[in-house]
Amino acid sequence: MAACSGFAEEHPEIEVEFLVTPWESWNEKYSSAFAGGTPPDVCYMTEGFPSFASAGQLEDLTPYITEELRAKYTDELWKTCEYNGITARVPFLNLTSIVFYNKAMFAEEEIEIPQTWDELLAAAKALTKDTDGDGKTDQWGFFMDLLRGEMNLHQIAPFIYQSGATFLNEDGTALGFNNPEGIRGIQYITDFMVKDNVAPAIGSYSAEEAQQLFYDGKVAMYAQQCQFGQEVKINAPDLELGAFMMPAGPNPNEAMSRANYGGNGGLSMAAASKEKEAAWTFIKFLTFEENGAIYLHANNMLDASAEVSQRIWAEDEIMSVAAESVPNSYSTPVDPRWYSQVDPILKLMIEEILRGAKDVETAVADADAQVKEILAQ
Amino acid sequence: MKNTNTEPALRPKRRRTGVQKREIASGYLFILPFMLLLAVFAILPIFMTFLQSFEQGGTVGPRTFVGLKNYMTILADRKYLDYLFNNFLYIVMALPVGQVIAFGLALYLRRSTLLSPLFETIYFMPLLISMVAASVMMSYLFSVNGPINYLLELMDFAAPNWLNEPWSARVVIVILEIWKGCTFYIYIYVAALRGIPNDYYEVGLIEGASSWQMLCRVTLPLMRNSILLCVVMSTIWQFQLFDSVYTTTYGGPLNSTKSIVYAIYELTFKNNLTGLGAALSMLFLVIILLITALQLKLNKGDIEY
Repeated sequence: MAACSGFAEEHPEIEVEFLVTPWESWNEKYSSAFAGGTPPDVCYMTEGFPSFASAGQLEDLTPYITEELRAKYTDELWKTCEYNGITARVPFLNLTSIVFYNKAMFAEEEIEIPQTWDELLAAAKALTKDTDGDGKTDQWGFFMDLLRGEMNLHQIAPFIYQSGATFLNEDGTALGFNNPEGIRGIQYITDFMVKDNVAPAIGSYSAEEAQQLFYDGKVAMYAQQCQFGQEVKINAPDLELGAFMMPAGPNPNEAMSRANYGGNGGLSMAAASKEKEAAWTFIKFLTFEENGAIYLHANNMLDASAEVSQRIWAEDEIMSVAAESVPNSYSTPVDPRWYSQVDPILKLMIEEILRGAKDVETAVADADAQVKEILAQ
Repeated sequence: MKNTNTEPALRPKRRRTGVQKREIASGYLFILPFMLLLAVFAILPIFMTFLQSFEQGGTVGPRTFVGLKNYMTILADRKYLDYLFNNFLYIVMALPVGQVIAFGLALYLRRSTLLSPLFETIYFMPLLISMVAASVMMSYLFSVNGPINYLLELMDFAAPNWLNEPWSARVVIVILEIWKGCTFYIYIYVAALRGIPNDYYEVGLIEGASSWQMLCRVTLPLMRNSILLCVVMSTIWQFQLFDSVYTTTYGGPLNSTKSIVYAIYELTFKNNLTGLGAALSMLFLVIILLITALQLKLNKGDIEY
């Protein structure tokens, strides 16, 4: 990691060992490290941090945080870093969702960038084609990463928010989308796959195959988190890649009508760390704009601060769109039960809808009943 | 009443000599490393899992004692019964087919010929291939646009979406399991077949027995212990089914391919519900023990020749 080299120059007295943990095994490795009493002094923590914070594994960073650092991020963002009265992480990065698109395909059909739900569907319909006349669609207007394996909630969730609903209700006791707005949002986007057939249906391709279709110019639009741009650059360097913000849904709140899922990650310090001063020195170093930017630039990621993101990515056509989307991004609720118990229920709910096992209203109502039970405990 | 005990009623206790004592001590020393490994990596984890099954809490952080709550939660949730049903389905589908194929190939490999080493190497290869690589290959073969569907379409058959339908997805996993597992059974059967004295077959030939009669009256009875071993092993492995599900279907579609071990993994490592995972593990251990004991009881009796 290049940022570590800069730190080593500035702080030769502190040696940093940088370990990369693959996402697939992130939870297992982190859980084992913390449970075994050998956690990293400084670690990257996703929205899933409450399960570690609730177990007392993360240091309260409140005494370390300066006014200057606090002022860098919004109060809302700081709230996503707090759990059980402690500040368990410092905001570090944001991964907003945008719609990647193939410019050449848009130009060929003379399609303008969609600004609303209706325009998005119309564009997807115009770009979905059976190019060889064999009766099978081989060019798709849209692609969602909901094809096989575990359902990716984040592909559907933006449309829940754009429609005017939320993950949880205001008091956090039930789902916030078991209502007409939420059902409208889920219905809108699942229709792409099950009714309008402008996106590959579940099971028709593996996620890898469908991504390859995008690289090969057989998929026109793909809504995904901003770091996906890096993969496109590597796998399809000749693809004329563009990006636009999520088109607006019917949410009366203008900003949230273009809501997008923004995975936000922070930096935490292990409560068991024996080098807390050194650990904080490293965290503080990374929160400086120019230091963090080294890492973020290398990985197509955004700073947790919208202003900083817009500044560091001003020259990049794709990432500047992602940076512009930061104020419209939301993340998952700060609750240890979210990933452990609620998330699996919602993934199954999406699969039931996409496979036609249940209609949207029934699937959402059934999921809501289960989630209410969990949240009541 | 006739005393059927053939042992003498009173038998003077023989004192062990120094040599015997040293032999016994060295015997224990030889098995000590294995016993230590068994204690540390099998018995202790089972004991710890048993304790954790009465606790609530994640992998990290404090846990609280909740008594039998985890067991009650699992027994009250129908989905775990569905996963157990999946395990039984895998056994019913994979065990008989796998054993028949393995036995058939073993019969073919029994006689040592010039080409035997080549075939033995070929049949051994699936065991050398990692399950991840095998699953990727199987997923490709059975994908919508894969070679299997291509062949089916050439023959004017409807090409199914194998991994997208519950039953066909289970069939793909069973095919993968049979392909990977057969190798082991083939070698057990070949070793057992080569151990049957030729005299029996010579007598059979003299008596005019057909090949089928010799298979049913000579080979199969004498293979009983090997067959039992393979059946027990296959049952246990199908109960422990995890990696083929994890790498092929992730338990889908709609949880239809999920096995109990996969559910244990999800509860413990993905959902951080260690207590529930431990309780499910303990219940599953009891089921496996009962079924294995039943299989052993049904096949009681040794064959001597």
